[in-house]
Amino acid sequence: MSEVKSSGGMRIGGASIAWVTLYGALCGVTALIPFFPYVGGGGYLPLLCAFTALAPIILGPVAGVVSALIGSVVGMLIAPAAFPLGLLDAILVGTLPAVFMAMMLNAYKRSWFLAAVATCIVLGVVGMFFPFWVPGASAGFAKPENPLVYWLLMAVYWLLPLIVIVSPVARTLIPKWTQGTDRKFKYVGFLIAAVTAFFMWFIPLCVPYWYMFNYSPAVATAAEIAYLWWLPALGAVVTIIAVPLVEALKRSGLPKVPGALW
Amino acid sequence: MQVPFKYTYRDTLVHRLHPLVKLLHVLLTLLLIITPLYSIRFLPVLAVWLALSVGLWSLARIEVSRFATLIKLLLGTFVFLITIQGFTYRFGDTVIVTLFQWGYGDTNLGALKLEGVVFGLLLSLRMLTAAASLPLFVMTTSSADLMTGLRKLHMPKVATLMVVSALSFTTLIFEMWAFILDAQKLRGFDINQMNIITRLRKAYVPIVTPLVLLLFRRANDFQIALETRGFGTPGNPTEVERLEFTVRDGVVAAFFVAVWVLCQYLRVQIAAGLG
Repeated sequence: MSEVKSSGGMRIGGASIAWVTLYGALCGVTALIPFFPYVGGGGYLPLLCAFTALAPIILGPVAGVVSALIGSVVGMLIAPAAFPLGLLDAILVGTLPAVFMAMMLNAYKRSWFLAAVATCIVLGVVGMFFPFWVPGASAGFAKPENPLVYWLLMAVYWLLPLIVIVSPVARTLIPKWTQGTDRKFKYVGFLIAAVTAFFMWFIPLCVPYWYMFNYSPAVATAAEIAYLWWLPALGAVVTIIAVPLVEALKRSGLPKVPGALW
Repeated sequence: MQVPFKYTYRDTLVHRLHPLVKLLHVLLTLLLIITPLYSIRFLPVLAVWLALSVGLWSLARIEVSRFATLIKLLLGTFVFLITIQGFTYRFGDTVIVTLFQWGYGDTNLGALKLEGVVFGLLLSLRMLTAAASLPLFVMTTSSADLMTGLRKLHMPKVATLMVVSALSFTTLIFEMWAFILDAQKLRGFDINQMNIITRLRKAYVPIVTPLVLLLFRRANDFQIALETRGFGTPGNPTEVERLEFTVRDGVVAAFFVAVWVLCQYLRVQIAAGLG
């Protein structure tokens, strides 16, 4: 008698692969829509960045990140101008918002908490010294004229998220607010999670390009300042979309995905 | 909303190439671009590879207007890179114009330097070289060929299906997006009449919410279709069209590698010359 084997591959992180695929396709299409100017790059960041950040909310952390990756690859193929560096851009621009959002929303779980803390520390080390000190002058990079200002501004993008992650805000309040029923607190919870996640995103979003396109420390410092308002604005847009969407999904009668926030 | 670069069938050498050979071109482009090219003397390195890409565009009989679209999309980035490098470049003495005095380190950030502009042009060329390879791949490779190519790379079945299906579903999403936009217009909610701030604040929620709900309902049908066709059963699926790696594919792949090696040789020689 032949043995019947289960496929086991029809779900990812509890979500059906069809959901993950179609949400990925939606993310891919949104790569065609310019959303925000790319401060320190001249191009544009597509609406895809907001949709990939929403993915862990709708599909749960694992399926959300996979869906974001699929969407970024599709976006890269149909809108190459938004991803001039190809797969590298697909990961840095498209997938990382989902990864950091998943970390922020799940920091109350031990494994995600450890991953988030380790990520912030690595980001801190890279952001503080690369590329203006290491490799520095040997690769043609001058040091910032005022290193203290540069480091203080850079600290916003790794130390601030680290403080949020280790504090009760991420460990208790964000899960309580985002999974609760009070609409006002839901907005606050998603906003804090999204802004912190986007702050974490700054270093991998910018630093590789500073290195590849030989940016001067003056431009890097200007980008550090510009993103201080830009990333919270992006976080606010994600929150504005997230709360009604989550509420609509809750009322829709669709089967809930484990780990999703609806 | 329109997709500027999508697959168009033509009977050309590039279209007939094995998808893995075209993927090799994309990969080699990325590897070339991420190597440090920090002087204008590296121009021949990029010029050789860009010439190869333009040659492939021409062989694939892709309209010149498509290449112009690509340049138009990247124009903002080019202007930014040239301007920023022009004003902030540290190793330039040839001032084109001085707008104001703002000393930062050894350089005046208010002066546009010729050397910086030239360096910005080099960076723009680097970006154009990078961006030229992907549209070529997309416009000459069908979904079926892409699926076979990814399977040959031993990518998991599920991942391959998801990427290729998501790519195919983009058309459906355009239709649904347009359908919802029209429905909202009938209710007096016209996104096209809104300025950027109002659009960010108000426009996306009434469009995105029904879109995601409709999409997930469609996804349930897609899941049933997959299950009824036995997707996910153990073993390798069969292929409708078998794609063989021919001698021609091998020759073209070897040619790509040879051009890439030539670029690297040029790069090393130029770097040695710079000391």
